Amino acid sequence: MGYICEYCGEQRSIVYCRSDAACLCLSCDRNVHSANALSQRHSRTLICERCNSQPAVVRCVEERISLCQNCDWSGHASSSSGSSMHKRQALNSYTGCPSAAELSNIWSFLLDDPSIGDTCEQRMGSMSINDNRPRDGQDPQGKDNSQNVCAAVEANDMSISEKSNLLVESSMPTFDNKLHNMEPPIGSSSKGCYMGAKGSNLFEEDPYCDNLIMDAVDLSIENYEELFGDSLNYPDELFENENLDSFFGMKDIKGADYSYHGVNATEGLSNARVNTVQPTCSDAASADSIMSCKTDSILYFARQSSLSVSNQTGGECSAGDHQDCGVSPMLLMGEPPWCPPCPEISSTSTSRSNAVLRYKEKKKTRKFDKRVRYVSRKARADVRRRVKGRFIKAGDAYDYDPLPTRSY
Amino acid sequence: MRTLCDVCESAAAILFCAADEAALCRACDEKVHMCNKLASRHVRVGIAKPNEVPRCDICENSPAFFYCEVDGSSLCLQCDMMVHVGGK
Repeated sequence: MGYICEYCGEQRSIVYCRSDAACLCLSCDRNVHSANALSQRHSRTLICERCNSQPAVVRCVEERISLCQNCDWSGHASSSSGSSMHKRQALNSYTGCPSAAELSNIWSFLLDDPSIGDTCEQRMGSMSINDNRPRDGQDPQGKDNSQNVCAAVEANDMSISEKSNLLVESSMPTFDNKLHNMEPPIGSSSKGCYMGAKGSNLFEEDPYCDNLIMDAVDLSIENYEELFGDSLNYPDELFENENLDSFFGMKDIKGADYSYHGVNATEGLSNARVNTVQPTCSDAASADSIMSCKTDSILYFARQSSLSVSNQTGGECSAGDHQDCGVSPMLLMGEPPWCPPCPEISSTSTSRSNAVLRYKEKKKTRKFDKRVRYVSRKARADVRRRVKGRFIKAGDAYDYDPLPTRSY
Repeated sequence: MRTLCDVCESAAAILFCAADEAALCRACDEKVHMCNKLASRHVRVGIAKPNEVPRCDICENSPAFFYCEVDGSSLCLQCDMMVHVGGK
């Protein structure tokens, strides 16, 4: 979890994949989830802009920030009308491999900020998404596009020279204000590069979208840069601004102010700011623990059975001890040499050694189990009347207390 | 009736990936999960054969549904209800 993509460790993470439980930048998200059919099903969503570690679930319209559940509750917990009355929208997630245009559609609130300036033109050349798929191995800055999509796009680009001539046929209202504010389109080559970098099927299949896509592409290119590319490529600026909103809202972009010279200086800054990525060993550990639950259950069984055995022997020992205590006073009476008030002191050493030897002999024949010495007495005891487990005199009345007279 | 692999739909599935929510055979599991380090982190559990499913410890009749860590035993639905909730 954290600020930096867990796959490349270079760019800032943008989306969170719930199935993989990982924060990824857009390039890695595309690479990872286009690999096979199973990974394409994974659901990804934006990352909370407060904690940068959990998936965002709501978007606070007033604060223009995407928040996870915890940050939303903690941020809007105050009962003052200001904070708790913020309007919030639910955030969508996506699956598959959408293009930038589609992502802008899903998260259309990102386009609402009029933040496009001259910087767009400068940023155009350095696109964020580096698609490493074999068929799309393009250098975003290069002009050697071999994709027919790029060719088609470039051809279309030629027809759009001035922004004012752009067709506003879009059925998506969010694009409208953007289109009017857009800068003149940047050189076609860079746009073509962008198209090559993104999914190519989108523009081949849908003729309706041609004009629309052009607008959307222009829109999304610039916005993409603003939204995703800028921070991805220039995390130092992000840190400089100290404003997470600048990531999506891009209020503070001033093209002239951005400088590349500060990379080294701010790298140290970025290192200090970046949250440490949690090691995957913890995940591995949890995986191991889950896999070995079966062996744990076996161990538990063994432990349990051993416990029960030990309980039994312990019980026996305790019973034997009690009997021993009862027995020992009788032994004491029957063995004069052990009696302390014995006047004979002269032969204590010999008598003592004799006594010890006798004790050792008798110890071998000890038996700590229930033994009835006089059967007749047992018969009598079974017949006797008892109250609360104690013998009572048969004639007297014992209702509750077998000891009616107690003197304290 | 054996569960089929969700990817190739030809081989019998022996593993289940909770993150992908898919049953996989050995070959597809290697293909899917060995291609990048994020997928290798997925936890996969084995799927029992239909005739070898573990039975409840108490009644030895129904297939085991829950495993109680405290008791250390696998229970079917009815026995689990009896033991942990109490029944008449």
